[in-house]
Amino acid sequence: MPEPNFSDARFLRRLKERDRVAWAELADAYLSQLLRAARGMGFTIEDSQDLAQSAFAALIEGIGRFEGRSHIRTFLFGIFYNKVSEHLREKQRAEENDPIDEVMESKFDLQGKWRQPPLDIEKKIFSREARQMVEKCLETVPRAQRIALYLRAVSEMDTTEICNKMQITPTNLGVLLFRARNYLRECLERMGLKRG
Amino acid sequence: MYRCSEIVRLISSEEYLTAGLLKRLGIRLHLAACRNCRRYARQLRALAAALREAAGPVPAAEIETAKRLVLERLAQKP
Repeated sequence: MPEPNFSDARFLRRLKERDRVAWAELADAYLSQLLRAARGMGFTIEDSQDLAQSAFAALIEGIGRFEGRSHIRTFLFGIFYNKVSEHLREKQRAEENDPIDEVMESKFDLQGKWRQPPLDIEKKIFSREARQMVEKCLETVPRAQRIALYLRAVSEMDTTEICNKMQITPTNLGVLLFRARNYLRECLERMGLKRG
Repeated sequence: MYRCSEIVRLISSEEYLTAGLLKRLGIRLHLAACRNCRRYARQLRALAAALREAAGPVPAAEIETAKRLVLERLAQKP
């Protein structure tokens, strides 16, 4: 989607003058992106609204000091990711051990070979119609893991960028991704079995 | 030679992305020889595609509410 030129000096001046039309344009361009990202990370509708609102509130407050050196979208998403990162680290601390670790351990024998190999369920569960199942299984993935998975799989940021924005180490990110993906795969495998 | 359990960890955590040449080669060799791990890797790739699809658009009403709130905040005295 082509975006209007929000970096334009004239547009920035309108924002600083609290021009309602200019702010409405900005809201039209980015609110849906912010909300979509928050929902994709597993935040409730209310929490997603809060995140999007606090990003915009910070921009409204800080626009006077904004010099337009970075893109306004970068600024907005910067605040948004900051808030998200608080959730990520806070939840992560509470989850130093995760049940999925044991599940994964039990899948291999002492030589590290598959004891319970992955089932051949691609056609049943990883098909286009499987969207609902994926959504259902996503709900069982803990918050911090889900945030990490969203950033990596959907937003397609690279791992360095995610670690910088979320202020976590690459090792932490790796653990979150390992858990999230295996939670999800396990859940889909179970659902695939139920379908027969 | 890597064990299946190690391959699963390397792939799902994406540790292989930052791995050196030798490690990467080891992973490739294992995958070439191991059907189960190949299937696992394939399923994770399919999962990534399914995730992108699952992140559907936000209902228009939610966006409208958000916009109204932003403009209300703007109208407040600075």
